[in-house]
Amino acid sequence: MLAHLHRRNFCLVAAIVTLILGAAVPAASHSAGNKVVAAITGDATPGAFPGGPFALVDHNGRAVTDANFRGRYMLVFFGYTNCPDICPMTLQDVAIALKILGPLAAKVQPLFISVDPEHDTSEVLAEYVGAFDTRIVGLTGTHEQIAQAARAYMAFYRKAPVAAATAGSPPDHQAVEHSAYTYLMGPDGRYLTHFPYNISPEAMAREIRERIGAGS
Amino acid sequence: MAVFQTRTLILGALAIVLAGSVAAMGLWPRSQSTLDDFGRYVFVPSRDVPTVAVIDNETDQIVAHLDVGVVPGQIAISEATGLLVASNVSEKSLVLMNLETRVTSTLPLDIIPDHMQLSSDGYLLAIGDVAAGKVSIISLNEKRVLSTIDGLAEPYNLSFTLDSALIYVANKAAHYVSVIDPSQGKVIEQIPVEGLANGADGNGYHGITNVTLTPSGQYGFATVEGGDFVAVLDLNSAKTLKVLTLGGQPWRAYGSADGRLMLVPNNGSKTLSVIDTTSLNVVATLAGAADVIAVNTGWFDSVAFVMSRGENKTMMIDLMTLQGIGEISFPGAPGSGVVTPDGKKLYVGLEGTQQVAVIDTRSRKLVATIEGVGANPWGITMGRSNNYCH
Repeated sequence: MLAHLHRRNFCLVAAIVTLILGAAVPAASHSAGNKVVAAITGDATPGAFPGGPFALVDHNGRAVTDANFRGRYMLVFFGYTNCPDICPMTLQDVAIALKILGPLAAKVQPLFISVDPEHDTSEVLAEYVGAFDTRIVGLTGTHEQIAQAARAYMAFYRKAPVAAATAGSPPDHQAVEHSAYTYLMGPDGRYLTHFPYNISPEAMAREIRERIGAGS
Repeated sequence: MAVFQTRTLILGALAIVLAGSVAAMGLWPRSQSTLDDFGRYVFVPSRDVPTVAVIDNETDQIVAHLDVGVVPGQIAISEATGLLVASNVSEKSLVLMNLETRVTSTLPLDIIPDHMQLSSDGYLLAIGDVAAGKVSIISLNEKRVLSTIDGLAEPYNLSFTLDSALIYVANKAAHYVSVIDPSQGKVIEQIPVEGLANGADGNGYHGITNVTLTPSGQYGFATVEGGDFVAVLDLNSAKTLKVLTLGGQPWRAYGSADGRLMLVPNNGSKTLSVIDTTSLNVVATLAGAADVIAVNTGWFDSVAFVMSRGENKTMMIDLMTLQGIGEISFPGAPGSGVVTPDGKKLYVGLEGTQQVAVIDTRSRKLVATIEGVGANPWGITMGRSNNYCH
């Protein structure tokens, strides 16, 4: 009876080992399949990184350039104050991300660059960005200054045709179509990464925290 | 006996150590992924097997094979309702899978689901039955058919406006685009497409194969079977604004994600027309390839990937300079791809293989080929994509 007990223990252990190995092999084969098998012809030049110099006016009416924000991680978003949904939602997410970051948020400078400078004066921007978080700086400027900043950041914008004004916007105000990425730039002003619209503030904060921690 | 006991203990300890090592190497079978991060997962149906492979675009690993019970004609992923929808053409039904619980249900239809289009907000599904001339509107929240509209002329393609309020229907057997209001469940307007005035008998043109909308909803670009032009429709006035002569047999217009450009492969002449949607003019005509099936853009819409099913490759176009900048050959025929929400990566199913190709859109290089997705992958999709505000 005692021998039977020992034999049973041995079989139990062997079964456990077999199960473990049996589960590991298919899992291993899943992770081994990502080899590149295609050929490339005509080596394409990689695309440029977004970012570069800009000269704009902040929501206090002061002339600023990108150099004013060196030493901090710029979080840059292009939008406009009459934007019905994506812009306010993005700024809200930025505000939440700043709260999640806690003391680390002091290393981050969120910037909201208006793509509707005719309407978005410094005064309008001050009221708008302040409603989300007083740490957000609104930036406006001349059409040429905005266009230059947008080009640097590979951001697209244009006035939508009048008939395409969206619900929620003042009826006499044109909507502005624009890309909706949020760019994270390093303390040296160089591109680190960018976030798509609708990324959660938790994910945004996590990425920023990792970048700051890595000393990017 | 004592020796036997010791041996048992040693084996038991070894088993524990082995288990720990396996777990540390990450080879332990994963618990079921929740798939609730719709910006993260790429869904890959197969033409041959009733499963949909799911790829994590952060790791480029397959994290699940979803058993949908049918070889889907098409799939759609609704973030709003958390559903994967698979069309079952032979049974005239839809399979609805809750992506959190993986529980499926079947929604019977009165029509054949030839084409399926998800609304931009993810709550509605439009299903087209080409031969019957019908379109059904499905509520994914309520999981029921809201309405079926008949009297259409071979509805070949369906496009929702960005606000999900209207559906534009390309009628392959007619010279007009039908406009459906899904809330009313009926056609509210017809937009005649000029250039078809003489009809099929007059000049060889047939009906409308596709209407591609600009994100603003201002314009529609309509292509015609057998034609050599695209008609630009003003969707607010419901009129043809202008007709642009392109190359032979334009397939359909593909919009850059920001709406700035429309790219139209002309499969009859193997060229690619580039249209500026601000000026509504053709700004470039580039060399194309055989049987172009799709065009995707990425990296801040600075590059386009033109998928040639006929030559098993993608051509890359720099959208800043409007010039060809290279090609990537594949071991199989590429289908339509999907770009991640940040625009950084493009996933393309390769027919004739069990592979998905992964392209880094900034470096313009193939960075991985994921195997084991199922035979003849196609119709690859995500639950979230565009980054555009209007």
